[in-house]
Amino acid sequence: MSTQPSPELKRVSSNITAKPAAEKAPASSVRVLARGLSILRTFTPKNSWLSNHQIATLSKLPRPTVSRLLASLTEQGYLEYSLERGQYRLAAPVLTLGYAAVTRADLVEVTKPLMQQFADSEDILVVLACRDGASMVCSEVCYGSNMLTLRVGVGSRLSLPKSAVGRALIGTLPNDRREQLLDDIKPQFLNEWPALQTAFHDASAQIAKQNFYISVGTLEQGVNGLGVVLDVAGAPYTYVLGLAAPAFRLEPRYMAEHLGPQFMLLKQNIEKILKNISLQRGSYA
Amino acid sequence: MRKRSTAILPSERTQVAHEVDSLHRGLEIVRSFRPGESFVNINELASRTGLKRTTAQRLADTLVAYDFLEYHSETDRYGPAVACLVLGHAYLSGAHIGHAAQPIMQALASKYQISVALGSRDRLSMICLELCHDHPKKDFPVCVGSSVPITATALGRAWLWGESGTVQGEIIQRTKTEEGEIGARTIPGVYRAFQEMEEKGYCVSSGDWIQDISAIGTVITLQHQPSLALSCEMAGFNTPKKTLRIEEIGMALVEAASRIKHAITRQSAD
Repeated sequence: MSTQPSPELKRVSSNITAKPAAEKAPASSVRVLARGLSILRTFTPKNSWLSNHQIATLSKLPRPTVSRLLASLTEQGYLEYSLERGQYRLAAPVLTLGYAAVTRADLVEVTKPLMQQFADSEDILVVLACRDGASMVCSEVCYGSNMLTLRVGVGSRLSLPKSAVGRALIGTLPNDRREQLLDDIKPQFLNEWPALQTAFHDASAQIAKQNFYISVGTLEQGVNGLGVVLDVAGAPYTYVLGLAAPAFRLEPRYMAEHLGPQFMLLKQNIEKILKNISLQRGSYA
Repeated sequence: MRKRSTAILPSERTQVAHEVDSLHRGLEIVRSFRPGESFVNINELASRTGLKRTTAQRLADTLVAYDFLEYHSETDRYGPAVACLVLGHAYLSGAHIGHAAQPIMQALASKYQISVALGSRDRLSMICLELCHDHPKKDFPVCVGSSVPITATALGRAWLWGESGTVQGEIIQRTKTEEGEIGARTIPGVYRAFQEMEEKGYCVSSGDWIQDISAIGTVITLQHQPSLALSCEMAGFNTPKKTLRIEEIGMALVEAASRIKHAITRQSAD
């Protein structure tokens, strides 16, 4: 849970501009919403059932408050309560909270077969990831046939400052947004910050030179990775394509001269198809 | 640790009802985004949720702070953000339902060249939890997380048949009041579907919800958790062999539903 931002302190996310109205608004009128959201955010794929007590600890909220809000969320259908366990978990209606809107069915449909094709032909792992706080969440994962040793799945979190996809994003962001993002995450990585900064400079330099970022061995021991940010209309700096394989299988030179340019073609292909698909998919809802 | 013997009663929280409202209203804003919709301005969000603009603005800003929405300053619009994705993934991977059902659904989809959907109830709709096609479909009007109306679809009607008379009555009544004339027109189809469910274990809807899409639905009744429904969708039915094909696929669907039930029960026991 260390990747979850402290809810009450969390600042407005860096890829948006804060509206001044938020600061002027009477806090009490939105406090309940804020607390309800931080309770929802305590649920992750790893801890599907949670007790009132655990939720209070994770969300840093008083237990009576948590009880009331859990009752409200359960009544609205977003959580289910197990008598047997005395615990709560997410229920299917959480999918109505923007999931179908944010997954961009068009994007998934276009990218998944192309990602799979790439994963198969190079026999590597290919992921599509989005940022969430200080981590990158995998929204699609495609394995080549021999890649079963890397344990990443849909919903897995990779570290923003330490993964190839995260660093590709950092290296691609415009300066002001990069500075704000790094300010936001720095407190969580204070001890390692000088070393990470060197890596961020390298990421920016690589992106400026070749548009993709290569990491060799340093991130997760023995794994080499490559990341490139997708340029999607309406969602700039949101989706990052990444690939990874054990270091012994991916020579740095092969990555720079072959995989990188091939990955750029994959990126351009995806962007071109997306441009041709109408974004008007909401009419049937 | 002491366990509650029941989920907290609504009456225990009436004193904070007005505060809890901001949670309800805020989540209604997130819900108002449609599949694939990436930007909506605040006036539109306010009108969809029936809120005052200033209220919608305050709630939206809070949703932004928690990454449920993002604000695009260039266009002055809001879009759904990464927390929606994270929450959906957390449910899907924690519940294991889609995971258990997927291979069975995919086999059915490939065998008959159809689309197969698994759904669970939410208000007056069925939410799609898992979806399998025989090959990628660009124009299919359903995706994981999107909703279809209960009373207008084979998926919803099959699910409703499996519920108690009280739930059936409530949903039919609410559909008539909340959806008006359009809702009322779907009701005869519900009773027809109930009769088919009694006789054959599946029900058929041809173009009742979307023209040119025919669907067959059946219910998956589970112990200790809400029932699900399974349906398959295919374009048109304008061949002479139509009745035969419906019967064959209907029976295969019922069989798949029973296998999914066992797979889910097995996984929940683990």
